[in-house]
Amino acid sequence: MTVTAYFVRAYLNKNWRCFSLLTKIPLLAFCFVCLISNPIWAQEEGNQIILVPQNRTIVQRCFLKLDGVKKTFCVAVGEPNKVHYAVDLSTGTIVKIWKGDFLEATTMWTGRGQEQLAEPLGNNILTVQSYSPVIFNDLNNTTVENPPSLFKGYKLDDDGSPTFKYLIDGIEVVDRIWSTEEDTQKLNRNVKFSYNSTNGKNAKFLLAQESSIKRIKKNVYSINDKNYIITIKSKLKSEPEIQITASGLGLIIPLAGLKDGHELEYSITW
Amino acid sequence: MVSVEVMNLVMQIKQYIMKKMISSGVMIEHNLKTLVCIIMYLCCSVFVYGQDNNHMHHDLGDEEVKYYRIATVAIPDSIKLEVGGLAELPDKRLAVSTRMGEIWIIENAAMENNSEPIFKLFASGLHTPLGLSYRDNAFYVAQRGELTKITDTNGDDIADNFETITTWPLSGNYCEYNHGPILNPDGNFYINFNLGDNGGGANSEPFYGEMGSHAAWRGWMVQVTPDGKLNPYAAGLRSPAGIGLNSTGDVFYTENQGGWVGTGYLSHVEKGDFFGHPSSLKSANLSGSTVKIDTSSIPRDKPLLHEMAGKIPGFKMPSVRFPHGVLGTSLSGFVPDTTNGKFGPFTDQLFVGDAGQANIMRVFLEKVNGEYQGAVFPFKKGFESGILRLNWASDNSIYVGMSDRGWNSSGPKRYGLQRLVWTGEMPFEIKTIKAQPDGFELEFTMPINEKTAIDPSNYLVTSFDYAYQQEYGSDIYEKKEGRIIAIKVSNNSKKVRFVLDELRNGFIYEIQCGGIRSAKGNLLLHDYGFYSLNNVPTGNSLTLDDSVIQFPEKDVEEKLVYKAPVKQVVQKTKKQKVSSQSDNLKMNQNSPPADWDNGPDITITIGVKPGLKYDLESFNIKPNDRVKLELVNTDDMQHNLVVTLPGSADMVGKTALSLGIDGTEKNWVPDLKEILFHTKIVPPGSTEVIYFVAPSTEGDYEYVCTYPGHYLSMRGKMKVYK
Repeated sequence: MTVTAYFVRAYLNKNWRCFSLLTKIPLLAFCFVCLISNPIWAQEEGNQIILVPQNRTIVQRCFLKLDGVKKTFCVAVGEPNKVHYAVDLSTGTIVKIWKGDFLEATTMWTGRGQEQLAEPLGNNILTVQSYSPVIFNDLNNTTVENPPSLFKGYKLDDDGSPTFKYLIDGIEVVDRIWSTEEDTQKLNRNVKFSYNSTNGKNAKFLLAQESSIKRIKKNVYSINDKNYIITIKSKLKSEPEIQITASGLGLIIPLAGLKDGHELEYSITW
Repeated sequence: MVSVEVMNLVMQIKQYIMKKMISSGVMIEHNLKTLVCIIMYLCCSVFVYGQDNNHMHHDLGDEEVKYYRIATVAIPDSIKLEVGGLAELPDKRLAVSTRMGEIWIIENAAMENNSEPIFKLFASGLHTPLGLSYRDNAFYVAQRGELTKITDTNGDDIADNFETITTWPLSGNYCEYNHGPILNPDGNFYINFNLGDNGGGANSEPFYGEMGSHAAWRGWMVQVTPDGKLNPYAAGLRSPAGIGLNSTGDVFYTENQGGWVGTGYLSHVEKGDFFGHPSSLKSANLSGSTVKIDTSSIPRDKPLLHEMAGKIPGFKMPSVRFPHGVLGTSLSGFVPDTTNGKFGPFTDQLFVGDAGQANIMRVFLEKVNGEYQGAVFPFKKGFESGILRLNWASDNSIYVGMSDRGWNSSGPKRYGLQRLVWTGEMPFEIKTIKAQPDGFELEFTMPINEKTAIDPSNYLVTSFDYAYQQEYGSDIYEKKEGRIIAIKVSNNSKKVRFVLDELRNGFIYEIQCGGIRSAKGNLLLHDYGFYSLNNVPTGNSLTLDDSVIQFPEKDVEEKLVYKAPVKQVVQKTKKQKVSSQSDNLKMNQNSPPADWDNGPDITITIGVKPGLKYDLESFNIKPNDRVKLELVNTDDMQHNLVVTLPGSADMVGKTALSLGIDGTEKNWVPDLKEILFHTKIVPPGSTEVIYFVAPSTEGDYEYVCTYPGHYLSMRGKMKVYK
């Protein structure tokens, strides 16, 4: 059954002391674990607070710094397979993807937590600017404001992995993000849309908005000179559109262009 | 001063006798013990109450345990239970949300038969959930940016569905805390939006002070409908750490002292109320605003709060003010007594927690001219950490959830969970104070000795007010003793009504009556309360007939200490002022002594770190060094620095606490020979310089902040060695 991997404290010398909180095990074992564990959150000077997903996904709500701006409505998701990501929930953009160690919460939970920032650890951190992924107009059309994305929450599966839900102008978006043990270079995303003929008519999904987007082959796109690669797995009625805007390019699929009309699956390799 | 020493001595003797009796195996008969206490107390009270102007409080603090005892819930070492919210489930398990974002469900928190409680992690990863509500199989938490419904849909006791009910904007300031939600019987949620911390003291945001509203609705109480509509409800909040209902379902909140808040309070909240912090008015013109006050109508001339009543439409006088440092320093969660007497004699009263002093106070509320007002009393001290939340347990005890991370408390631990249990013994307390058209009526928990009750010298009635100003907190102003001109004891001997020479509308009344005994001779467990006289009731004055003992006016000079805030002395350092010689320095010497031709031998600068600490743990000087010491208050709270004789810092800190409402006037520095030098109270963002000559005797001289609630953690050592 599920084993909840939980928080760990680490001294600066990286002398890790791990502690697992096991669910559904006999009480005695639990007490034993408690007895032999040191306090997790010792707050001596210089202590770091590190979150380590062990056998269950960690879904940690937090503030994140993105290009010098503090984003106040984020979540960091840490997977036991060490592929982690963060989402700006105010838009629904995956803004960080990284590998290795998960998250440092020291400035969130030490003293008053003045700085109050979650810091992705590990290496190879991909950062993506936050934008509205569901749009209703051409990117160039600056006269009409895109309706806001409303975050509606998330559900956890048995392993603690989240599926996020948004509502944009009446369109319900269900967003599942995952990676596999086999391919830890790749983050997969499945987005489901519920809409009617009216609000879905002009809706489009923006897969990327960057300074350079190049088609490598059918359904495979290099973003920012292979900074990351998007591979579309869903069957499409026609090829995605690359729109040119004042600030860069956008990779766009109209919902009406999805063959089954309601589901888009793609992966990000970085 | 003498009385303090005598009191200490008497207490020591008392403790010594107790210890002796216990160690020699003597069974202490209850009444014998009481007798000893009474004798000791009488000795003390002679000194305490013998002096006219002495406001030092005395309560039988150690006796509290006879009536209400604290039971500690054992928390496994591996769990850092920094309590943010509490909720009891229908199956009597206790749910606890923590500041680090977890929800724990605890079975057997009452530790039946001394068996360990069982902790189970229900949810984690939440964003600072400083409150927890439960209804119909769902938890509700206010995270930093949203209100969330949390459920377990598959019955494995682990949360799996997190539904966002509504969201709100944030600037990302750590201090943008959300207190609540509470679920009102009307189906709506209520949440308090804390202001952000401007940092750097009172002037960091020139117009508003040390706290600011940097996103819409910060500094407001908001109402959220079940379908997620956010309705701004009331404005002018600063640091509203407690939110809850009274026993009739009306919404109340607690506020923390600081800029624009002279002292902490508990208040009833109605739609459209404005509580005074002007920063929240940045949202006054947004759509949905229920408070349309313009910041230009906020007075800048530091009026007293009672002068604000009726001055600005919607300005709300807080229902009950808690004099800062005397009853609490940082008020938090509260619960009404809905136990119908199963928690003692205080039905419908509110129990209010405090983070700084780790204690619980008791509030009696009455409606006068349609508005809630009332009195606050000491109730129970000695919890293990700063109290954030209170919640009833189904066995009629109160769960007390604690965490003082970031704002140290006087409790010995950094977080904790305890229960407060009534022992079934009836304490002798002032149960209520009710305003009368011509005075007050006190009701006691048991019949009183009439002879002590009709003696006016057994009462000390003092009224005062605080300023409404941007500066952090406030001194006490216009303090005046009231004169009792008539007293009447009720037929059942449980009430006493007294008539005062005048009633001052909008003032706080301290009523001390330590001389009153119960019919059986008991001393009051706590002998004072503070009544906020926002409204004087209409109705019949006491008919001064033969049944009323009257006290005709004597030739007493009116004792009026008038200090208008505008006349406040601004601490200006007159650098060239040459007044004193080294052998004639004041304890608070702010100017360089005349004969220090070559200046000081050493200059020490001490700052303040968050979490109630000086940034200098110790410094070394030589005997007879000429010292210039600067206290730079970089914190957002008030502090002082008192240099004490070796080994006396604890005693000095404790004695400062007992100064009561005289504390601010004395800069919380008691008259003790153990105090060598001291600063005044230094407001946030300010600096004070003192000069002194180091003692000639070698030793470790501790310096300590004697501001209430600070002395345990805020201290350092001045090491004087050759």
